[in-house]
Amino acid sequence: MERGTFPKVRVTYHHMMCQHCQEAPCIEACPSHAIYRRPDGIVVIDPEKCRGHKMCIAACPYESVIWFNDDLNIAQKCTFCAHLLDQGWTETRCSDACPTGALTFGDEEDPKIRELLARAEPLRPDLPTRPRVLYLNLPKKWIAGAVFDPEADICLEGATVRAANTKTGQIVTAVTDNYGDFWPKDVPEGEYVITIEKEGYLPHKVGPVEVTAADVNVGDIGLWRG
Amino acid sequence: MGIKQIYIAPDCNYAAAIHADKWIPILPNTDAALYLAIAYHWFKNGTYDKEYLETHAVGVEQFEDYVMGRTDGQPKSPEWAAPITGVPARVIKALAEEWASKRTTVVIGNGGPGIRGPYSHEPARLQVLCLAMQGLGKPGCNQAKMIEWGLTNDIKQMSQPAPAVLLSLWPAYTGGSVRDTNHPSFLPKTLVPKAILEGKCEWWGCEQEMAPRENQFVHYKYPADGCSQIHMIWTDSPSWVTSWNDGNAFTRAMRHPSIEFIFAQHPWMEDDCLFADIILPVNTKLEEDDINSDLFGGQMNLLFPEYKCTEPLGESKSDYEIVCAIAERLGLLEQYTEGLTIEDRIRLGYEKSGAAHLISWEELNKRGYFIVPVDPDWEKAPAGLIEFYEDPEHHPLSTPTGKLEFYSTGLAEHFPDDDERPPVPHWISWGETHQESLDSPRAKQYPLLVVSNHPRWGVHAQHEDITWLREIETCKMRGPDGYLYQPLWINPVDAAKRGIKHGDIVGIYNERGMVLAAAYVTERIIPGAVSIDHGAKYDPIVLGQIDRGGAINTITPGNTTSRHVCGMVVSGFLAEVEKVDLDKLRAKYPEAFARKFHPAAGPSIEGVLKGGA
Repeated sequence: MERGTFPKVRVTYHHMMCQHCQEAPCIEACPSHAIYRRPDGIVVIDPEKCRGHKMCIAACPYESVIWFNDDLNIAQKCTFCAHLLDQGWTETRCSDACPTGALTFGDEEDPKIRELLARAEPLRPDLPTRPRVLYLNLPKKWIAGAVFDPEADICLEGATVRAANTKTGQIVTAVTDNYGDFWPKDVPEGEYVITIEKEGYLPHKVGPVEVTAADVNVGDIGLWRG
Repeated sequence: MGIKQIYIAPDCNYAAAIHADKWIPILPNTDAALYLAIAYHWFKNGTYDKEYLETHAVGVEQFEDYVMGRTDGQPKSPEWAAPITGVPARVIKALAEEWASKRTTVVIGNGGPGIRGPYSHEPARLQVLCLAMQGLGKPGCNQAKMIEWGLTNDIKQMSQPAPAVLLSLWPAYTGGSVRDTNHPSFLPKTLVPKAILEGKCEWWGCEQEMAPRENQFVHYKYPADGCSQIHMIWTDSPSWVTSWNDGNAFTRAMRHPSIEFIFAQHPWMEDDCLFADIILPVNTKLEEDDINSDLFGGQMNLLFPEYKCTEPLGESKSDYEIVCAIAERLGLLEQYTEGLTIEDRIRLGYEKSGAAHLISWEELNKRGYFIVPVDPDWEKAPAGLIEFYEDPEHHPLSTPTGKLEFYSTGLAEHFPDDDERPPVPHWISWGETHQESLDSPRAKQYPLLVVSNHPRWGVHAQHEDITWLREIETCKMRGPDGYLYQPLWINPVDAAKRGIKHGDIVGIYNERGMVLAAAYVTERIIPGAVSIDHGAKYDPIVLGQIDRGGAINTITPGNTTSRHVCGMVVSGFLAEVEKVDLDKLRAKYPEAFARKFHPAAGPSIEGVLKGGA
């Protein structure tokens, strides 16, 4: 997912997969009762019972999780590698293959997993699906900008940037680097007024800005000697 | 590791998008101006290693004169560089100060800004001079590259930890080699269209990257004395039209009356094969026995026999078998094969690989591969140019003076008046050989700079038809006509100016022709530039003029790097982009648009064979 506006741009990779929900809408939606939940929590589409209605695809609120196999006329999705686990594998193929350790598969009784679960969050907290795929370090929105001195034509390092939430009063702080850049990346959603201060310069106010739908780039801010 | 990473590129590339502490967007092919401005800032403030230059460099005074504006009245200040590069002056100053204040290494993929652009030898040289001004070779101050370490066949260039032996399969290799410079007649690839279309040409240097330095001053011509013009072309796995300079000129060269016969051998009916009179089908790797080595991957240097996993399909043969069949008809079979069977050759490859004393033939075949062990003394190898740094007299560089030449003595001797590659590196905006900068007259008609990188989803022209990859939006984008187009990255500002929305089919064009693409509107490209990967499969709407496949190389400059340099120019050139009306185009070129293509795999053999496949 591309985020931000030029030149404050990043790409974050969001892994979308079947969430193996404890309250799976697909199970409810299937008129052939082809989808079921195993005792170990894995949600499975029975290929022999599936009649190709595609109601599961319509019911699933997550993106690109269930897809339709036109050759076999059945819906298919991630199975948590059930067939491998049943043969003794201790993790899914994707978790095994991931070179950066971004995927961890395990039993919720395992203390290592419990430690991760304590810090993890669902992708869509607005949904009542109770997923069994949880996420660490989901990116929050950012506020980005750059501070400079237009008279001296230099980037201003060491300027303090305070973004104050107009409702909660919470303040997110950053200090500009040698390019004058400030880029706090874990800003809770809300409306903010931003104050930029540096000794020897007049303070500058920006905003209010809405940090909700998208990351915010306030652009290049000039400070004037005071 | 906590090392700060600054990415300087027109695009926020895939590494920058994740790893950059700072992305400094820069207009394509303007890096020479950036380096000059950085040098200016250092000269002005004295923030460079003066003592080092006194012992390790020559010609610094001439360079300083140029940079400070004493030679041409134009100081190469950050303020001067800002409108050229698109980098604000204050950012150039901050970058210069950061570079000077820390141990800074320049990392490039393979060539970075020093290759494939007009006059790209200037940014290449200037990058080295900037490194030199901060003590090139001192710990932490080197130049590093990220791929293809085995390219130069030099164990000193291998990434660390280096292998105990440098594998080589050259003794068993049966193909031609660019190292064969003792042929009476040869032609750089970059000059093939020109040579055919004009009947003659001249150049300097054999174009080969491992040639000795002095070779760049040797004058060559075509036709060589006493040698024939080209009458026939014999090509294997060719992709010139989509991988080299001015592909449209290449298409004209292939159809020139002087070319009586073109013979191609390739696994697939694509690209240059479209021009061949006879095409022989060639095996893929999966269909033949061979032996291979991997020296490009970094730490894992591998030797591995490759045995076929399926018999050749249809009547296809290996490239080698086809060449043998022709050699036999020419009475050259014994000479060509040296009496060896393919099995013999594979065994010979192993025997001479450099690893035969480390693993037996039987064990190699049993295991299927051999990983060359690490050199036990790898940690003792000198790091980068540390030996030159510490003792330039006893560890000189391979320049004529043995030092870093801010004033190139070789160029001064051979091409003293070459204003396109002067002894002191310059910012060359535009000149006789190229007019591809935003301040050249052509920019009025073609105001965008195209940057074209090696493809993300392929290797040059390979893997264009892999259906799973083609589903990915950054690989191909489906047009309203169901065709999967090559994506063109364009900034929202430039797109809005042209009424272009994400997914619109657009034409990228200049005098050399037009290439269709799908607009990928993104903040990841600097305004004023557009980006399109090279290597798309050629799919002409009008042969030599309009391409549907997105083969951007059909409209890249034809001229070589500069007057005396015969490298290719395939990035950093001017074009305009406009939305196209596919319905209008289809009405104008019904036959081309009616050509069959595979909905997932793209242009296919069905589309080009009379009467279908």
